Amino acid sequence: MVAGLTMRSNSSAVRNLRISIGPDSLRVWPVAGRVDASLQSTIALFADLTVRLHISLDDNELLVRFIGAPDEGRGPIARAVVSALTPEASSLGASIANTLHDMKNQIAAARQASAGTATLTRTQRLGREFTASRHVDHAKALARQLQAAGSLQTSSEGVTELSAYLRSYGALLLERLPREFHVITRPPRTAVAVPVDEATLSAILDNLAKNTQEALPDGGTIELTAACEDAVVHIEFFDDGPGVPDAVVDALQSGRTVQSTKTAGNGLGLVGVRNLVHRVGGTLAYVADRGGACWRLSLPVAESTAAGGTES
Amino acid sequence: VSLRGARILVADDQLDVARTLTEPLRAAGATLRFVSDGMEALDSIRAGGHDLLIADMKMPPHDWGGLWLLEQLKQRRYGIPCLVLTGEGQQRQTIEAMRFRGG
Repeated sequence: MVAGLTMRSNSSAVRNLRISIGPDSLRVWPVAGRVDASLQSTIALFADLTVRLHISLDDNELLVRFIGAPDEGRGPIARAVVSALTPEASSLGASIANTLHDMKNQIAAARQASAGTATLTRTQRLGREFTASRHVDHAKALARQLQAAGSLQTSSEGVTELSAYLRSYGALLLERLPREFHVITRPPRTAVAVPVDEATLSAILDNLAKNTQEALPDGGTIELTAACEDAVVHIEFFDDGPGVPDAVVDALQSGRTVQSTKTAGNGLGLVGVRNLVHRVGGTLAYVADRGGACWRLSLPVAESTAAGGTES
Repeated sequence: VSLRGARILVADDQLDVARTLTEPLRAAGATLRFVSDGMEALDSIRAGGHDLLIADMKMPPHDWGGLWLLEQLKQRRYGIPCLVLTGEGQQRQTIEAMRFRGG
């Protein structure tokens, strides 16, 4: 049986039935008594629906298959059945749709800002061009989030040696962030490579850095640490901000899309990080006991390193 | 066209987009007030002082928060004229918006 809603009807006609609702079928069995005696009650279950059914008797339950979708019904059973049969848009799909919607709006705003500038003064025209450019930048940032979430990009190729990369990335991050931020980099003590190209690794860390920047508007400290343990490299991205809400961590770790209000983001940033990490055989975990926000990326060691790593 | 004296409430969670798209109204003399979700818009309308509401369809507190807002206005019998601004052209939402008086 496909996992679905299990319920007991309150209707008098079906009071003695237990019902498990799947995407395209129901299983019905009596709370007590013979299963074949439940047939009339089972038929009564659908009295308020326009639906064609095929009902068969299994060993201890009735299997109800729908032939054609039921019309909208008004009773509690009807609503449950309609709800169970209506495919729910995945939360990832909804986030992607919202991001595309936001991108479209940014592009529309850019077009509006750059239209009808012929009669404007030079300063006014430059102001409008600046506004249009800002909207285009926002649209591009959203496109990058979609790319990281996996809707525009399929794979990562290449290998990155972490010691040199993290030193370089830490220095670039420090340059890029406002001056109120400090970046501490602790690369692995031995040369170690991970099967992720630098662009992908940068996309992962950039997403986390962006979250940090939003969480710490007045600045703070980022620690970027990597250590090798057996055939796994753990990269920890820590900031001394307020931490990540439990709901976000739970959603991410249970494989759901991170819910986010549109004003604060679309939830695709962390989903993108998770997808990119998973795509290269790694895992993403939140370390809750460090007094800030700490994400741990665990990545497999690249084969070349695993075969013959050297002390640096 | 002069909109001098017109007080317009704009509800959109993408405030930067809303500001750009309504710039011609501001340039025409209207006074614009921006809010970023349906709840805030409802509070502002309850407080009064607006001649027109321009609302985005997709905004908090729900996925289609603009429709939610229009429904709330209808239930509470607020008489403010409404204009729905959206990039979504789905027939179902358009019909719902018109049912709730959105122009």
